[in-house]
Amino acid sequence: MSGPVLLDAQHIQKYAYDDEGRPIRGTDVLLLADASLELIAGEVHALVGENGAGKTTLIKVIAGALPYEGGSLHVAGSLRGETTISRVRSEGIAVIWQEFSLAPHLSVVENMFLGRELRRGRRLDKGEMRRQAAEAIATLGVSIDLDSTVERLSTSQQQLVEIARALNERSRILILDEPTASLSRFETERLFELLRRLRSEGLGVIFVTHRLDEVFTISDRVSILKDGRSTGTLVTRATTKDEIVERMVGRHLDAVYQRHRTTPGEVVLETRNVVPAGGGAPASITVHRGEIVGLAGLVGAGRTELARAIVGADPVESGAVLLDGMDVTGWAMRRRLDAGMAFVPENRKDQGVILPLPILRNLAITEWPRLGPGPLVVPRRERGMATALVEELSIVARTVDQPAFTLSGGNQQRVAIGKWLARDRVVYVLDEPTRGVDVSARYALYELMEAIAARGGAVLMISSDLPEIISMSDRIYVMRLGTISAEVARVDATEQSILTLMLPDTTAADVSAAVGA
Amino acid sequence: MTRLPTDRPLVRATAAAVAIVVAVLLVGQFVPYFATTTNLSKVLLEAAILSVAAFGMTLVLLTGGIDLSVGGVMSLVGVVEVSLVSSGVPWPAAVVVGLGIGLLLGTVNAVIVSRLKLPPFIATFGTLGIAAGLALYIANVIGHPVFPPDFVSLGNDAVLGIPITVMLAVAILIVLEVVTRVTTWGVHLRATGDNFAVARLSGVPVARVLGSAYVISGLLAATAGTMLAARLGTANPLQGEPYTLLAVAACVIGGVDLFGGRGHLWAAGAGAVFLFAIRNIMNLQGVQPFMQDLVIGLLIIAAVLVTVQGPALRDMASDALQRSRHRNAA
Amino acid sequence: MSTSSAPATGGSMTSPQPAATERRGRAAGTWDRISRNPTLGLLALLLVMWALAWILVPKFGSVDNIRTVLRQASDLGVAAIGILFVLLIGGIDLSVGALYGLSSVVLVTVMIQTGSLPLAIAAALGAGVLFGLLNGVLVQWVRIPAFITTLGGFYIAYALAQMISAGSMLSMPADDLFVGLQTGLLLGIPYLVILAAIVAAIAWVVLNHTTFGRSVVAVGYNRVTAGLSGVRVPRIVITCFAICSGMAALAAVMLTSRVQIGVPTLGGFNATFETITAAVVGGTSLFGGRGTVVGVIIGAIIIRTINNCIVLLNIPSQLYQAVMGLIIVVALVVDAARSRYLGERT
Repeated sequence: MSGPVLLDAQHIQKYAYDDEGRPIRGTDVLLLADASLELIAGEVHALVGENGAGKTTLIKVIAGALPYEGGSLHVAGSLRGETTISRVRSEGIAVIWQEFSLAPHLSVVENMFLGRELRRGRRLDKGEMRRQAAEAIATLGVSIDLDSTVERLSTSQQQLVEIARALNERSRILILDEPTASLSRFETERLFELLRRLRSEGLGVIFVTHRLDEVFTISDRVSILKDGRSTGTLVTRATTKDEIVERMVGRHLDAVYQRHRTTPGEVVLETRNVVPAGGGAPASITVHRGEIVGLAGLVGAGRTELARAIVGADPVESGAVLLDGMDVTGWAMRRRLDAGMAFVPENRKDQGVILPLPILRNLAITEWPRLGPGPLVVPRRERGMATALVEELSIVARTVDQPAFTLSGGNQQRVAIGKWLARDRVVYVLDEPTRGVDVSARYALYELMEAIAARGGAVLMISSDLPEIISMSDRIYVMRLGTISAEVARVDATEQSILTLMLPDTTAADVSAAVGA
Repeated sequence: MTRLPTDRPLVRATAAAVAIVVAVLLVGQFVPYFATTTNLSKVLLEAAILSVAAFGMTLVLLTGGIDLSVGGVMSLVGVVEVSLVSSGVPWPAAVVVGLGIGLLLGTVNAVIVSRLKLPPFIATFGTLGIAAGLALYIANVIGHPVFPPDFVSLGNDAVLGIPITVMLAVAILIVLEVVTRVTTWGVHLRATGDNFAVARLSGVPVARVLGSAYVISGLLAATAGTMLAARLGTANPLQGEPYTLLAVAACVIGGVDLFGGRGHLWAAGAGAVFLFAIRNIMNLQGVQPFMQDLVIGLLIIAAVLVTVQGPALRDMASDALQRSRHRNAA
Repeated sequence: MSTSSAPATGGSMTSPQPAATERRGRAAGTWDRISRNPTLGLLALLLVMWALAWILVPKFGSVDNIRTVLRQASDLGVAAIGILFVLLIGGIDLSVGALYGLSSVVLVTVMIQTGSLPLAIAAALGAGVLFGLLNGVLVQWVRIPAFITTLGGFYIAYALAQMISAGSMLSMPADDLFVGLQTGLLLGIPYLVILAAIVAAIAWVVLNHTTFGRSVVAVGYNRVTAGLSGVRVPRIVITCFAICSGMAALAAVMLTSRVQIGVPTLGGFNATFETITAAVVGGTSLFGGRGTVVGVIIGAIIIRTINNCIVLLNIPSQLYQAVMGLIIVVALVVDAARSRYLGERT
């Protein structure tokens, strides 16, 4: 890894911005306070940081999707000021976002040249575009039907189309935003092979990820962002996971939550050979009173599908769900909720809270029938309940009347969970409860879950964060390919063992090497 | 074969075309007079008018929007043209003015949708009201003038057996098809409706593309309004009103996706012919006007139902097919 | 709106809190201020309009004229309250205009057949509610967009009305009670106005003090989350459509008491247009979740006031159409801008 500097961002500052990308008038909120990143040709450079640290904002500034207000940005030697998108293209930077930038009903060729169509005179040069598309796809070593509409391709294929487009554009800088989130193990490895090849051809790759293991697998250097500031650029070979994490949060890895355990009671939730509506293999789990049960697995392993089948958000193809011994398999979701279930979905903004609605309403929504005689709701009771919850959960808000969108992510999550806490419930099904939540709020949520268990409730927690799931759970079910592959007691749980059980086709030896045990 | 690709517009459009031919032949057996050249010619002549409006609607639908003002524009343009003609302006000049009005209203829509970022449903709902209202007002002022005969003949006569309106509609279709297939604008139209954010990030000038669809729709609505006025020989301020719904219906039946990104112009034209054929049959059978509206309304609901529930229906159909195949094999 | 203190210079993030929280705290403060009543603004607008009309238009301020305006606003207001429910859940109902015709025809027909006014009114309302249930089922279970369903519904209702009345205009048999509805006064206030006020009061209580009302708003803002939180979404949706058509039927009964005939063309697409305009002018968002009963009533009164002035000033009534079109465009632009500002959509 050596070569000319492709990109040099120094001490970048960026204020909170409006729809046009310009700073909101009068704001002094900085999304980036002092962010730097240098990219050399022939390098894979990882960019890590917690959610909210500014990774995405920095990428957008580098890519030219946002202007910046302080610091300097040099690309291929020349300084960049205000930029429009087309000029950035000619600088040779290509970004592949997590949500792909593809038009689903347009063909592969049309997508590859969208916005920069080749022309002969005033007409589209379809022949040449097709030829170049075929060439780019071939370079990647895959075969994709060029005339297919993009929506028919797999996620991995769509990603490859995007990379092909970047290559066709003669990009020298490739930025990938969490590219492996939806890829299988095999597809991830194929991607990494590709990146290694591109690296050897002199491209520079920036690789944003949450998965520190990947940092060690593929990157040459890693830059860490914390609260909008760069806290270091390390040579991957010469550092450790601990050191990286420390720069991300300023805390050592072993300071993950220490939980107080409760003795579990009888079984309150059970699934018997449940196959959720979308298919999969039968899954059987139990959850006891006073327990926190973790549900681990890769993206796409079927955890959310199982959770939704348990609470009744989706029907089951076969199998039974039992709550407190009652067979609730045929019950509508509302009935199950009334009987004591609670469900906090994965997607907070779209499914966890209703953003324009006041906190007051968001918290009381599950209890309205019980807040007044008959069909009526007594406002004072509603407000009292909401205020009490806000206090109990330490939700940071000026009044309960402000809309949920004014809250930070962590506080929104507290509201999403809080609406279920007005009454003690039998079982709480939480899908990625701490995703996108900053560290202090995360701890508060852990305390909350612990309190629920101590009070006699039961928690089924889906999480992709291995340290979290290991430290919080009494037992862990690992899902793989739509079914439960194992049940692991807390004492036996290590990142290594859980990871092994999650992966579809690797040997234990491969896993040890990857995790660096 | 396990899946019927009923969601591909091409298949559905072909099905519509085939259905028309079959219908014509079949119906001709049961409804006297239907399959005669005079009658079919009349159907095509009138369908041509709708199809021109439907072409505009298709372009707008492709961008993921909708143009509810079509009917109002058609009425207004007719009324304006007739009032100019009755005050001595030669009809070609009046037509030019009429088309200009279509362009103007289309531009108003374009600005509201692309600059003010109002949802198209709302924006064009408003322009519809304004256009329809103006049409009523002007008509009230001018009384009941009529168009000169040479203008009227354009809307009613045929050359070499083909109605002039049909020739015009086909010509417009050819031009539009060529332009949308051969230029970047055509790709950009579909991209904008398919995924607005992606189109914008890719450098597609989305505001301009969006706006252009409405401007052209306004122009085409004005053209259709002119053709309608010529056909009827006069300008009643309400004559364009049913065309908004009919244009949407023609597009939906022709497989144009209401949510954007998919659809073919010629299919909308086929949908228009289908609609007018149905209407013609109902007329020949003496079905009352309000019943005809009812049938059209139900047709639209049915067409949208197929779009929305299409995948579910398709799965049901292929499940049934599989089951019957297993039964036969067993 | 935002009276922020002098912005901090440079970019020092001195507070230990994450920057985002600060931004939100500021937004919350501004929010409190705005949430204090756009309805007051509407009321002010109405009063200003009336003041201007009183000064500029002769005869506007006479007690008789005001009574007329309010009487005319009554049935529009009732229908607008009905459509408020549908708009709140994020839907739309284009069939209300045709429901006017259908209900009036049913009303008069049953009256002619049975001579019983209560039965006739019940039949008309029942027809409306039934129709609304049908709309609701098509939208909720069959998943056809409300725009298409209710547009088709318009033609279906119209066709039904034509069939029942055999295409002709039906005269309402003389009934003192019914005529009295239109002319009677209680303490100087017309019965129709009182009826509208009662309906508004009930609607207000339902929307603001019942589980149903709160659920409607939740569904309108985010149907998925509402469902996952235990709200009975299908029931809410279907009920709102039933309420809307039921209210339209009631408005039709009120209107019929004024014109004393049952005819399929009563209302028409014009009435649909006016009803939606009244709701939007009254601050109801077409995207769902936002809208008030009081606002809608004021919107109805504003529209009827404009109508009244046009008549009193001898402006040709055809211009009314164009004016209405302009009003709705302005109202919609304002609504869309507000909607984005309030964070209801991006």
